[in-house]
Amino acid sequence: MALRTEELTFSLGPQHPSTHGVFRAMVTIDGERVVHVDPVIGYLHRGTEKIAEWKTYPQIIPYTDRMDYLSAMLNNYCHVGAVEKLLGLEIPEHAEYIRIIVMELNRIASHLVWWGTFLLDLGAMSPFLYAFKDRQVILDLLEEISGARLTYSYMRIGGVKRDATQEWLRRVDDFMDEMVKNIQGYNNLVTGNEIFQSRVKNVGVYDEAFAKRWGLSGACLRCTGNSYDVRKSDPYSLYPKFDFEIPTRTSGDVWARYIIRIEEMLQSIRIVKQAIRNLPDGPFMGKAPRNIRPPKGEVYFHIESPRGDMGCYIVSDGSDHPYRWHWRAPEFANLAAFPAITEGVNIADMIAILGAIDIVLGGVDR
Amino acid sequence: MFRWAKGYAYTGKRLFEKTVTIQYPQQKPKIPEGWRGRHYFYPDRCTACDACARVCPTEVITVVSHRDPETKKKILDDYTIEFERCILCGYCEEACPVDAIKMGDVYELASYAREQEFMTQEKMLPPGYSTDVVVHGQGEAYRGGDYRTKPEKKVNH
Ligand code: SF4
Ligand code: SF4
Repeated sequence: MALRTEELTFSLGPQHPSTHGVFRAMVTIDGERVVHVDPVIGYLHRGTEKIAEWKTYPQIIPYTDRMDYLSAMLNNYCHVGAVEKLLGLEIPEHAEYIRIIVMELNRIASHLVWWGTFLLDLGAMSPFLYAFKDRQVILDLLEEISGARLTYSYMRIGGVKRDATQEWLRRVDDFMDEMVKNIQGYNNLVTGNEIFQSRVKNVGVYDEAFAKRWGLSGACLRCTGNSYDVRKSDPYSLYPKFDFEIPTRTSGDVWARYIIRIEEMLQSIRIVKQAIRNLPDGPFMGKAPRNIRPPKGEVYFHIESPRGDMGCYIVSDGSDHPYRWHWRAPEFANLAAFPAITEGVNIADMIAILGAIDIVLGGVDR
Repeated sequence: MFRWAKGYAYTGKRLFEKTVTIQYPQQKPKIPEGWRGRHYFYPDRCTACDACARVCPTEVITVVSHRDPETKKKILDDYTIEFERCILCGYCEEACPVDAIKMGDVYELASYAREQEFMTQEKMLPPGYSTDVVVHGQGEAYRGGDYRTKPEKKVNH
């Protein structure tokens, strides 16, 4: 029989280091146990969906950069892909390969941020520095090809903004080899650590039915044994041509989510290496109309973002701007399950669970 | 048991690696080609076609121009960017048919007052240009967003 004490409600955030952005959680605790968590979101709301109704289709691309700012390339692609689907455009293979390279690089960079900050939440400082060091190299590469460090705006309807040079591709290839070694180092440093393992194993456990009920996706779903990944389940772009695996685990705890993300980085490296090896020649920009006016109709296009199933829904009225533009943010759905997972856990575990969800508030609030 | 030693060993191994950061104010970063910094504007090249203002997502470019009554050509009178709201997307550079507006390599964008963020032609002159090419005249101002469908048309569906 646990000792009951008086309940205490406090506010975690809005600017707490473990809330990654501006997220507030009203936490009610009873001693060390969490009784109830009430997430308060919206601090980063910029009304992107409404703004998008007033922008032409190409003009929306820079706005998508600023939603889930850790995976701007993928956001770009989701919007661009939706418009291309609506227009029925053919994208040159060369462009599509470059897109896949930059998207997977961005996925690795995003997972590195998650890895660093997640361990920072758990009280480990140095992994953060290593992660950001490697991420810096990726960001420099992406900066060089797109012109900006985070807000790439690199995709265009019909292709990409600039072509990749051979020299750039060679450097990406070299870095991927280095990255494989670094991930082994990460495993040495953190993954095998008993203290770390005892903090994450059997913490925040849920099963597949729970994950489906809450609409979780990404690593938060795959940790329960479900292998749903849009790249395989509903293939887009040229992913069917690539040889890669979807890592899954069955234990459904924070540890499983951790391992899945580490393995996903290795899979992304595999994809990048394949793409560089098989990169066909061709134009980097297809034949897109100058004024983009998709036909009347609606379209839903979804991709696998580092955080899960990201979708873009466009209703077109035949003019040059969308009638309705909606974004499905995976981190929003994943965060919604946070109160349900944390009920009855320790405060320290709550932080681990929040970290493992991998939220990016720019994407949650949009 | 000696797990901690592994951690130390890893730290020790990476301690003497090459750094990826630079000593910023003393050392300047290398700006890659095609990087998107603050604009350079070439008043002598601009044909006042408004393409940049039309494509700008944040509608911060104002092109002032008038039509020459004889040749019917547009003549640039003024060109400004409300740089506070510019998101450095580079669309203007891409849209310009004569390369009159280019994304530059200026990255030190902080200033003490909002007014300083308002980019006039003088402030956007590329290095080596004298202020002689700057034009100031009275004309019709054009700013992005004006061409968009009117709201009444949009709502009824
Ligand atoms: S960079 Fe983008 S936001 Fe800035 S002036 Fe050019 S088009 Fe407008
Ligand atoms: S697009 Fe170029 S030429 Fe046309 S108004 Fe803008 S700067 Fe001048």
